[in-house]
Amino acid sequence: MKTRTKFVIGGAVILAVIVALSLQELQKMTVFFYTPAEVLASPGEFEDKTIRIGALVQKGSVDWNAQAIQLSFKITEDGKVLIPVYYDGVKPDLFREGQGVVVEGKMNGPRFEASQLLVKHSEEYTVDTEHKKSKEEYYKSIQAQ
Amino acid sequence: MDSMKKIILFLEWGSIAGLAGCGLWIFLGLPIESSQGFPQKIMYIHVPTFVATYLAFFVVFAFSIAYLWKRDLMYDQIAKVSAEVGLIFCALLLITGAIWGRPTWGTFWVWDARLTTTLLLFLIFMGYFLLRMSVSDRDKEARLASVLGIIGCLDIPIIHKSVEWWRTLHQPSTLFKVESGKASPSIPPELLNPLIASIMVMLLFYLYLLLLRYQTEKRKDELNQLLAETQV
Amino acid sequence: MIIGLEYVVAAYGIWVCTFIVYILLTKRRMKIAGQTVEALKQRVSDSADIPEITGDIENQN
Repeated sequence: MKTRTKFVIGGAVILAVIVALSLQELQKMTVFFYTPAEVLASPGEFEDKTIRIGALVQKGSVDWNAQAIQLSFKITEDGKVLIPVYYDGVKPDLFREGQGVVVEGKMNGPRFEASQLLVKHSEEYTVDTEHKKSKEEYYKSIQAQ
Repeated sequence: MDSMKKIILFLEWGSIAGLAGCGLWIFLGLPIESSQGFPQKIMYIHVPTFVATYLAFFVVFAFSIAYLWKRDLMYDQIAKVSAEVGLIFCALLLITGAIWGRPTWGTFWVWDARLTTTLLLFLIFMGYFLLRMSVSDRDKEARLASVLGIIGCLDIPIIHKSVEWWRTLHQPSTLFKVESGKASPSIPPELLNPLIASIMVMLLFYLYLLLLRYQTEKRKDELNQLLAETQV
Repeated sequence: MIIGLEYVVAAYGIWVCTFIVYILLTKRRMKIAGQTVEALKQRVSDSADIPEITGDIENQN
């Protein structure tokens, strides 16, 4: 009975600490990331602060230097408001043009220096139908012969 | 009691066969998803696990209310075993999610709304069992646990809506996607059908675990009653 | 080698192992409880016999 009481008290204390920490994060998480427009609208507020920006990778803006392991690209929401991002690190597998990303880092003048690059994939799933079609056509062509 | 055993045995073999069948379908009979590739297969364990988690805690919610209303300890027992099974599903939900996040998002964990509220659900029900352990009076335990169970389950709609209410890294719901008032899951039928099958099998598996655990609990009650009788 | 195979194996592996352990533990608990119940019932019926015997002895005296 005594060990059980100790166990319960210990568990409750640990649990309380974790819940408190989670609730602290809960306040931050309501704004998990900002949009490019929000960041550019008030540059003074975000200067020298570690923030996250979520947006899409602008098509044709990706520059991947495999030797120096440096990645640069522009992020945007609407194709008009752009922020250039610089990231020293490996390009994630799912990183693509037009893909949603969340970058964490700091604004340095007009450019954003990212320390973390996360891919925000969409809820849409697709199967490569092109591939299947070409297979079917291939079989058809064999049967025709 | 004997018919209960038969049902459990039927559910046991039914869900094991179902899980194995789904496994074969998922790994041998499906095309590779085009943007994520092979790791997309984790969806077939992650999504059914969250549906089972939702159901398990919904049962906790319903039977906690039933207990407070009727004051029958049987309801409290069902709520308790469902919470235990739900807690395991919730832990596996977090684990499979983390494993899936690594190859797709590039991280195991972020403190976004969806993930944080899910962790909160897990922690609330850890507290639920600590509460049950700390109270020795059986009726008081049931009363307090029911109240905490009801409050804890209110987190579920928050988890479900979190991806719509806040900006999160987690994508919105694929399966329960609604467009202009109509359900329209954004996934092609050849990937959707095995997902629905896995969810059905998972719910069967949940039912099996619930009944198995409930039977154990009844056996334990029988034992405690006997112990009390012999000591008197 | 399929890209991402290790993640899929880990996710499914942990899931399956967790439930195997959980089900086995639950069944073992049930079995032990059942055996204890049987043993206790046995003892209750044994001890129920004893007062009868002592009662007989008292009567004889």
